[in-house]
Formats: sequence, C-alpha cells, structure tokens
Amino acid sequence: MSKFTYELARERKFITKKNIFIFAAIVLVCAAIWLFYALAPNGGTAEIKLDGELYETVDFASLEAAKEIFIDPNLAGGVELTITADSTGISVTRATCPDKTCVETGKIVRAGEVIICLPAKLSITVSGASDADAITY
Amino acid sequence: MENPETNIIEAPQKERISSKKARNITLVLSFLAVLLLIASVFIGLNTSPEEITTFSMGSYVQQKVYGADRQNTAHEAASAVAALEEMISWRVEGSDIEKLNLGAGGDFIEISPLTYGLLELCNDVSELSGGAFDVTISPLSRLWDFDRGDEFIPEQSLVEELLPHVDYRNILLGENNTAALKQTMTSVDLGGIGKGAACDAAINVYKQSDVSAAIIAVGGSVGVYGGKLFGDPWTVSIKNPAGSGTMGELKITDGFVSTSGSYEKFFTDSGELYHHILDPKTGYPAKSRLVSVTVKSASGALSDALSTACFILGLESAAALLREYDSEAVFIDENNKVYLTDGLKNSGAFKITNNDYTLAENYNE
Amino acid sequence: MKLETRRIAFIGLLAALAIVFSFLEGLLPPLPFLPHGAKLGLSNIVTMFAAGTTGIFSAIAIAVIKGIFAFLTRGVTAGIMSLFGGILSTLVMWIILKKTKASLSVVGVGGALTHNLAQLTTAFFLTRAAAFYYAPFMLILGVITGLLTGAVLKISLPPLMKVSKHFGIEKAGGKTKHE
Repeated sequence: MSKFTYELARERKFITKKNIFIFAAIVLVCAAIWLFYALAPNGGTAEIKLDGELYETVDFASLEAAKEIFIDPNLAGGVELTITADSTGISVTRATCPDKTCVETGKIVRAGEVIICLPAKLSITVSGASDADAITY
Repeated sequence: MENPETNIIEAPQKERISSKKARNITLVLSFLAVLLLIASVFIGLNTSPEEITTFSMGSYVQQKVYGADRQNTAHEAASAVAALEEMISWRVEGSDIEKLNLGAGGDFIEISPLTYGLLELCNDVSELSGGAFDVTISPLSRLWDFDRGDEFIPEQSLVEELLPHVDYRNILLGENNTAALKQTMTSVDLGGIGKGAACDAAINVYKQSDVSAAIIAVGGSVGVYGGKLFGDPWTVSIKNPAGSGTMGELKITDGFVSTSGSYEKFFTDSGELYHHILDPKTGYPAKSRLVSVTVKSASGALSDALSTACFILGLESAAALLREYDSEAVFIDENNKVYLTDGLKNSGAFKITNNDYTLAENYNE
Repeated sequence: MKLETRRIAFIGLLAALAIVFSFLEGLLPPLPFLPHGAKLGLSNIVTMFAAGTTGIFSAIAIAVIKGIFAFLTRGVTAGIMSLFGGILSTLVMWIILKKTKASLSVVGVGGALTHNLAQLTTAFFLTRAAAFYYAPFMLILGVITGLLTGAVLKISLPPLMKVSKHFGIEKAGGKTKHE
C-alpha cells in the first residue's frame, strides 16, 4: 500500500506511439475476423443446445413455413423461450429472462452465427456452411 | 503490450533500423491495412446481393439479385411471380385456369398468351411422356388431397370413377389464345409446373432489367440468370430425401432446376407409403422405385413438368424423354443409388456430398 | 482508529461510485454493431483508483460488492460475470500499474480486455457453446473502453486525490521510487 495510484500514474504518459500501433493491430485483426464472419455463407442447419446438450436441430431446407419451438422452462433455468425458424433464419422471438439479450440479437442465418441466452444456458448455432445458392426439393 | 515503456521517440540511435524508419514503415503498413479493410468492406457492400423472400404459390419465393438495379428488380420479379399465380392458379377466382375449369365441356374461352403457352408445353410433355405427365390429374389429386393433414386411402371405386376423366387430350387449344375442356368432368391443375413457371417469370424480369446476375427459388424450383462474381457457377444443392440437409451439389451457369420427390408429401398406411406424385394411369402413387428426380432444363416450367414425368416413368423410360428436351437429370432410387444422365456425368457438374449415397456406374445398372 | 474509519468510509464511497458507474452503463442503449449484453466495464476506473490508494484487497472488495449488486439487480449470470470480470480485471490493472511502467492506456486496455475475456469465458462455461464467436467484437470493445478508462483516469486523478486527502488516505502512503 506504499504507492498511490496518483504517484504511480501521474508521471505516466496517457499513450505512446507503440501503444497506438498495438491497439490498432488488435482492432484491425478483430475487424478482419469480423469481416470474415460477415461474408460467411448461409448455413444449412441450426443447432439448439441447452446446457451444452443438443435439444433440437433445425434444417432450413426442409422448412416450408415458419416453425415455432417452445422450450420447456424446466430445462432452461425457468426461462420460457420461443424460438422461431423459417427458411430465412432462426431467432428467439420471446424470452422471459430479464435482459432479453437473445431476443435483441435478432435473426441469424450465416454459418458460425450464434445466439446465446445465458440465464437459460441456451445457445443456437448455425452450421453446415454450404456454398449452395439454392436448394432444390 | 509487454514493454510499452520503450518509447519509440526516445529509443537509442544504435538500433539496427532507425526508430524513425521503423515508425514510418509501421505507419505505412497500418495505413495500407486500413485501406485494404475499407476497400474490402466497400467491395463487399457493393457486390452483396439484394436478398428478398416473399410468399407465392404456397411456398417461399427467395431471390438473390446482383447488379445496379437489384432492389427494384427483385421487387418487380416478386410481383411478376404473384401476378402469374393470379393467372394460373385454379384456386384464384377469375384466373384463366378457374375460368377454364368452370367452363369445362363448353365453348372455347380466351386466356392469356402466357397460360396458353404453358398449356401447350404441358400437352407437349404429356404427349412425349405417353401420358405420364398430365395436368388433368386434378380431380384425382383433389380426391387424395395431400394438403389436408389427415390423409387416408380413397375408396377404390372413387378412383376408378375419376380415372377415365384424366386425359390431357381433353384440353383443346384453339386459335388466338383460346382453350376449352372437352368434358364437364375434366379439370386442370397447373400446380405441377407453377413453381417452375414462376422461375421463368422472374428470369424474364431480370433479363429486361439492369442487373448482372440473379437466382430465384420458388419452393424447390430454381432458376439462375447471369454469372456470379469471378464467373463461378451457381451451386444448387439437392435435398437429402431420407433426412436433413442435402445430398449433392449441382453446378449450373444457366437454366432451371426442379425436383420431384416422394418425401415431400406422404402418409403411411399399414406399413405402406403413399406419396403425392400420382400416376395418371393408375390413379395411385407412382411406383417407379425412385425417391427423387432432379431435372435441369432451359425453362422452369419444363424442368418442373419433366421432373414429375421422369419420376412416374422411372429410370429406364425417362432417358428418352430427357433427350427429347435436351435436359439432364439426377435420379435417386430407394436404395440411395444415384443415377445421372450422360450429359451430367460427362460434364462433372454434379457431385455427391453425402456419404449415404453412392453413384451408380451405369445409367441402367 | 480515526484513520481506519476514514479509510472504510472512503472505500464505501468508491464502492458506491463503482455501482453508479455500472448502473449508468446499463442505461446506455445497446450499440447496433456490438453484441448485445456486452458491458463496457467503466467501473474499472474506480476499482483501479482503489487499488492504488487503499490497496488491492479493498479494490477486490469493491469488485465483489459490485458483483453482488449485479447479482441482486440483474440475476445470477450477470452476477457471476460481473464478479469474475471485476476481480480479474482489477488484478491485471494493479499488476500492470505496480510492476511495469506502461502508459495509462495500456493499464486501461489491459483491464478492459481481461474484463471482456472473463465475460466470454463465463459465457463459454455456462453454455459450452461457441461463445467465442463474439471474441473479435469484445476485443475491439475492450480496446475502446480501455482507452476511455485510461483517459478518464488521467483526467480524474488530481481531483480524486484531493478528495482522498480529506479521508486521510494520503498519510498511509510513502514516497515512491519512481520519480
């Protein structure tokens, strides 16, 4: 407890040029990864997991109309969840948890995209990236 | 972040590269990186397609349109598909087909050139397939009604009663876009080619607009226009008939693809499967040992009609019909064996992507 | 004894300030391009200041109080995240400040990145899913808020020191060897 923050800090610069480059590098690398995500192809399936256990797999190609999946609150930490999937993506449309993060995330469809609801220990992951422009059935 | 105290400006002069040089190099590199990032985002935004999904013909209409006027064009194409439905759906009041069915057994009525053209095509395919494809199957498909949800096998007497009225030759095509149905019991359902025809309608819109490339999927029928970026072919995946996901990929640079499969609508009764593709000869689901036929043709309506015809005809008889229309096909039989027409086999445009399926060595294996 | 009372009062003040910061943060609208649920971690400024003035243990105490507050107001998961994020980032910032001569922005960014990585790890263990999809977003966010934390620290230190003198904190310290 011998050194005050003030004394440790007042002589320091706010930032050095080297720092700027390091921070810029982090931001650039992350932005590149983000771009990679953003350009990912649409996925073919979505996996709904509860507490790490597979709950249901949704196959976008075989959905003729919108499908609603209701999650049993007993399996999801007491949170009531409604998941809506159609051929254009999957989203959580209703959640009774306080923060509603999963609902605000919106619809996901690209391979690798994730919706997470921590209170319910729920995750929805889109996978099965295919280069397919369309599916015939 | 470990040694930030080594301030570049205060670094000693002894370094191998002078600190000023190092700083300049880093600056230039970072500048280039930022520029590259901005450029790729810009290119990404500019070349990204307009993707819209609408609902027509009882299924999703999904479009991806590239090029300058992509937004307007996509909406125009969606309207064109909706307009087509208004014209050829027997369910729509005042449509050409509804009028035709209502006036069955009566005088010739005037229909739109588009409907006329489709009926002409249907009759042509019916003729060449020996009646395997027949749009006058309508009374029977309404009897079976695979959209009902609680399907059952209809009385055999009812099937036998309706069967004689199923005959494409009852569709009479007159001069100047006029048509009539010979018998009062005859009715027409263009559902078998509707989705393919919708693809045709959309592609016609693309052709007349300022777009570089586009793909449309109406339900499981697909049409493509123009070339993708860098000239890559379009990839159309074929749905796995036996489960989730897809079973193979078809690379195409033009044309239309449609699939008929017994897995789409079906029910089982005492262990036997009854699917929705009815054989106009028997009035019962076609028994050709195929589970899926995918046809690639120069027109959407044609590919849709041919996929149904080929499914009913079976592997052996389908080949001649496909040759007649210069079309290619992928057949999947009950044993997960995949058969290709010679054109597809030679071009290598089709590839199996699911290990459950094996490619047959010979077409007639 | 009087000094000790003052010290506790000062820690209480800092803890209240940390809670106010987290509360204000929760009021911010979610940024459109960032993952929803990500928190900026602005209260790091307070814990960082506490680490230097009253010692690392009281700083961790503040992080724990903040975690309990999050637990009470925003639920179990938010509490766990705040607790792990708060304690770990406080430790990291304290070490950088104490053991290196790194600039204040490094201290801030180091703390913010630790805070965000702790959140991600918690999310990973709770869902055992691809929570690391969010990693690039969280890292960029960490750099931005870390810089903000560092800047605020640089500006707010002199006035904060004046306040702390009234609580008699100054007397506990010694001369530094850093000058």
